[in-house]
Amino acid sequence: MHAYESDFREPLINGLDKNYTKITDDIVGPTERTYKGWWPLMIIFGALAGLFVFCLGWTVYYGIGAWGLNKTVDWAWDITNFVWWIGIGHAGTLISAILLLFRQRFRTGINRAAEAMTIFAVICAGMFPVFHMGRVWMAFFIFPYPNTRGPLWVNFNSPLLWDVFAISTYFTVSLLFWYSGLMPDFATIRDRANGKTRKWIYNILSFGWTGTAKQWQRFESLSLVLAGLSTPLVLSVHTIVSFDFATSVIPGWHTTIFPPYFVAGAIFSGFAMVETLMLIVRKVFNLEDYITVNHIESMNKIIVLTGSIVGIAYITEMFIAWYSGYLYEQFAFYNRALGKYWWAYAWMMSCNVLSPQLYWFKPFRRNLWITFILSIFVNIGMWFERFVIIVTSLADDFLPSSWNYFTPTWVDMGIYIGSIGLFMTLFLLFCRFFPVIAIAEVKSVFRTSSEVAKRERALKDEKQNGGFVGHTTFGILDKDDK
Amino acid sequence: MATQSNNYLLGLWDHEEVFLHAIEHIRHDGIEIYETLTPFPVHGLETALGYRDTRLHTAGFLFGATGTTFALSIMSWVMTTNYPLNFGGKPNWPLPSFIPITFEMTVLFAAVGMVLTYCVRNKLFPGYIPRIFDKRTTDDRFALVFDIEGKSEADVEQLKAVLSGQGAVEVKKRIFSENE
Amino acid sequence: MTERFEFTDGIKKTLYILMVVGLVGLLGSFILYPENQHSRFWTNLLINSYFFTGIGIFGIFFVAANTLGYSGWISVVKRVVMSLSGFVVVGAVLTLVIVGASYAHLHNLYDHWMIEDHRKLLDVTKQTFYNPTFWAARMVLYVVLWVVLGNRVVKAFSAKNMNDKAVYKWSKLWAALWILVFAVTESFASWDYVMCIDPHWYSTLFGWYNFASYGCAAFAFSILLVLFLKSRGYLAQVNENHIHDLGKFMFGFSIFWTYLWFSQFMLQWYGNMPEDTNYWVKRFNVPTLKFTIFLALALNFLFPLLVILKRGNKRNYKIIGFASVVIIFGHYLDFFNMVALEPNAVETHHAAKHEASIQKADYTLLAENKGAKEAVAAAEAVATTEAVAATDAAKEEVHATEAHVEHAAEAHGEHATEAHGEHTEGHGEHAAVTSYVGLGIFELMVLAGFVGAFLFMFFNTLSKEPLINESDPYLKESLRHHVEYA
Repeated sequence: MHAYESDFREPLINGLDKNYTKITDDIVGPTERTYKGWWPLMIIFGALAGLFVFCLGWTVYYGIGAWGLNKTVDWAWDITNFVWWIGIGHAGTLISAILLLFRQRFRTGINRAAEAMTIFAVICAGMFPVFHMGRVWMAFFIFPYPNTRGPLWVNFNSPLLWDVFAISTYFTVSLLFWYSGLMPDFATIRDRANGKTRKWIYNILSFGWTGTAKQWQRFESLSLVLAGLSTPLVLSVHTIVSFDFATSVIPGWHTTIFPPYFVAGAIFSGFAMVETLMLIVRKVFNLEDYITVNHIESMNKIIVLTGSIVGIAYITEMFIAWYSGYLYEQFAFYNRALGKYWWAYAWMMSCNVLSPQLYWFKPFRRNLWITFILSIFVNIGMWFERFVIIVTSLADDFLPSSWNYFTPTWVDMGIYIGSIGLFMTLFLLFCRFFPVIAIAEVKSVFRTSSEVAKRERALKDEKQNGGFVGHTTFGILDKDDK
Repeated sequence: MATQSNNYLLGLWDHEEVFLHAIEHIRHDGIEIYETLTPFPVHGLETALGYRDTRLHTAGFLFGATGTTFALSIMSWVMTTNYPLNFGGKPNWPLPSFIPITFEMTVLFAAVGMVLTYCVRNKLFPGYIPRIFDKRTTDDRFALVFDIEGKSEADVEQLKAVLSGQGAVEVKKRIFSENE
Repeated sequence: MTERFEFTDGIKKTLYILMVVGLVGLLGSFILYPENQHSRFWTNLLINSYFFTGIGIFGIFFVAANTLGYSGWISVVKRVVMSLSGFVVVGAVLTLVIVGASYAHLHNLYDHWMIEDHRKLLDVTKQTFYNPTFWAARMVLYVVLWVVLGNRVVKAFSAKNMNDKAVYKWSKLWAALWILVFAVTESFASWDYVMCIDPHWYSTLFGWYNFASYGCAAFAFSILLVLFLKSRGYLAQVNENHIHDLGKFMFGFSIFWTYLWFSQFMLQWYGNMPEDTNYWVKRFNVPTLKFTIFLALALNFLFPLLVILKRGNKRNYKIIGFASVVIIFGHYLDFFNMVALEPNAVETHHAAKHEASIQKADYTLLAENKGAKEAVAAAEAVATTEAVAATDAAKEEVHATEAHVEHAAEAHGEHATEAHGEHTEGHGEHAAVTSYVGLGIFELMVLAGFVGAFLFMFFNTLSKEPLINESDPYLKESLRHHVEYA
């Protein structure tokens, strides 16, 4: 029954002053006062979100010609952004679901914010396909429903339709997963609240949670099954996104490795975005004890793993294209690396494959500045990956008349930059009003994985060994194996 | 609300291991626990309380199976009966094409169905105002609640002694007013 | 804690019997099926060597991954999983035999490019990559790496003083190195062992797909062997929680395998390009293979989904043990489906004829193609004018190669019928050179023999050191391991 953890593991909650109340105080704190720096950030990103709304309005008013959609390749911009955002939206559910199944306790510190990020990223992603339809008020045509246009149904053979289902399901399930975890934490905020209105609002948000044993039992069962469902779901979403490309017979796209390689890439970019945000959050909200260097290091290991998988997939694709003897495939890959978009390919390779290799070395994994810079690099690289795949195959396609060198219009750029504004605005609102760390989950690992617990165990061992301070004493571990 | 009792005795603990031992002891003594409140899921709690396994996952399985059937049958009907068209020479019943949507619908039905069941069973919905026995049970206290409606003062005192003996850091009465 | 496994004569005897059965199977298939340079014998040898070697190297991979992932639960079963690699050295020798024999033209497995006349018909890039010497060098490199580096890594994982920080750190470095080497060699090896049997067909996720197969089988073997050791009174520390976790991995990998199977099949079915689909059409045209393909899918996907998804079943030794046997067989079948066709049914294999047949679009379309069926049916109805219309329809509807369209247009219907007829007759015509393409008694005997050899090497490795490494820093976690949730 005693919680036990090997002393070879680093603590996940630092600080010897920690106890349950302190954890609540530290995490709920940011929702009770406005931190310095919140307003300026909110103004900047809010303005960008405004740009987003403006550019979308422009698109709807003037039509999708504003995106320069005259030639096939001109679609590239919004598809790239769509896939980029969806990819980023993979880490949250991955952290909460897959790491839950793998019993990785480090997930407790970062899962809440990562899931929130997932939801916001999927919102941003969804904007691109919805608005590319032009007449957005008819967007409901994409759903299969009995209608007055004769027995006219959607095409169930189309991967784009699969996308509709995949993304709406993913959004719904992520939201449910995220929110079911939030209820107990809202109840914690409610029970600390002083003002009557605040109490009332957080009670509504908490759905009237009290934390009875039966509730927790069902809670655990629910999170487990949702994790079990989300794990294949998160893989399926990016798999289906990859099907959009791979089912078509365009050289460079029709290759069977696309599904797993897109998924690896999505996890890769998602973790990078989590790192970018977490490094800021832990600093601004003084949560360094909960999002420790240990957490960052673990994420960096996942980055080097997925980065290498993506790298192997690039090489495999390249190799098979050469090996296949299929001229057009060979040209597509030659063109990717050395054609007129070589610079995009160079960005992709150096950001995605080369730069994460630094993380083979411990000092880099544990250096916060390097992590921060690299996490942004990875996001740039992953944007270019999609750009490279989409643009190089479409820019010189079957019809010479539609060949074109791709350049985005100002509306394109405004929407992309604006989507980052929307994302950050939502995230800032989340940080201000919601608990950024899963309070209940962090508490549940307190007795096993906190510095306090480790110290207690070490003292107990010492007592049992008659005062002998053995190699298991925590202090030595602290300096040695990090 | 009329039948619900308003008088409770509350025992509060501050360490989950002591708390678990206390539960085992109290149940062993045959004292009925009205409610158990903890700030986070305590491992082994439902075993200690003798709860049977939740059947939520079974509900999830059934919802999922419904989703699978629903998706497959509607797509089959549309593509073969209601609106058969030739898409790129593919058969009218292209099973591989159905797999992604079938999978998504399975997951969607299972997840939504389960969450709804969960909320109903746990009495969770926006605006529900629960009885809060002690505010600290969502912070750092583990609580056992006993119904003492109609119990004699001596019995209550004895219960208090048991709770304190089991390491409760605080034992107190909680009496709700009628409209609470 | 320092208990060791004793490789008793009783166990050895059983394994010898299995190995003798395997030898008889090998000899029988060699003598009774001399067609195509004893192709049945050689395919059996290749399938099993590859399958069991893969399981062995996966065993090391799994322990390496767990070492890097800081997992604690695995400590008590680590030795069992690692010892799966005992067979790798035997697999290496057999690989060298296959390579040598191929070089000496003693079998036809790699005839597509081993024979110069055939090789010349391939694309230049394929000629380069499947230059026999280059290929042989790669094969030797893989097996040498697996044996030499594998042993070194296993040694690092079995260090006696693992609780020493420095030693522990080294084991992690070896683990990282193994994962790197494994990732690269495994994907290349999957091409060089299996995919190159038919070099016209390629799939970029082939390496991943093989990896998932090894994984399922490796977990199944680990579960069975742990259960066996427990039944003999060893490993009392291992309880249903550890079996449960191994079972979860087996289940997860089964789903992963299905995912990859589907991704590969669906994309090729959807794309409907002759160079992709010919692999499937060839197989679906052989009834026994079509059956084993779907049987493998049922055993490797439906069966785990229905049987081991449930928590209780993963913790029930009898059910999980039975499931493991089924899954091992299912993944054997998977490799069987990949390898067995071409060498045994040479008409699908013969380079020159094959190249031509692709051009003629015999193998262009996957079964159940509505447009093609309608076109053929209409053509059969004859009446020239109608037939011309039908071919026009075929032109529109059939996603065929240019060659096919030309061919159909020339043919004015009758020809299309003829082509179709020729295609179905194909097997009868070439019956003289078709060896046995199906799962028969010899396949099962050889499989049994390899299981015997695999287990022999496993137990031999296992008996050399204590079953549990006492110095493992996570041992205590593993002993207290309790799976809280499904």
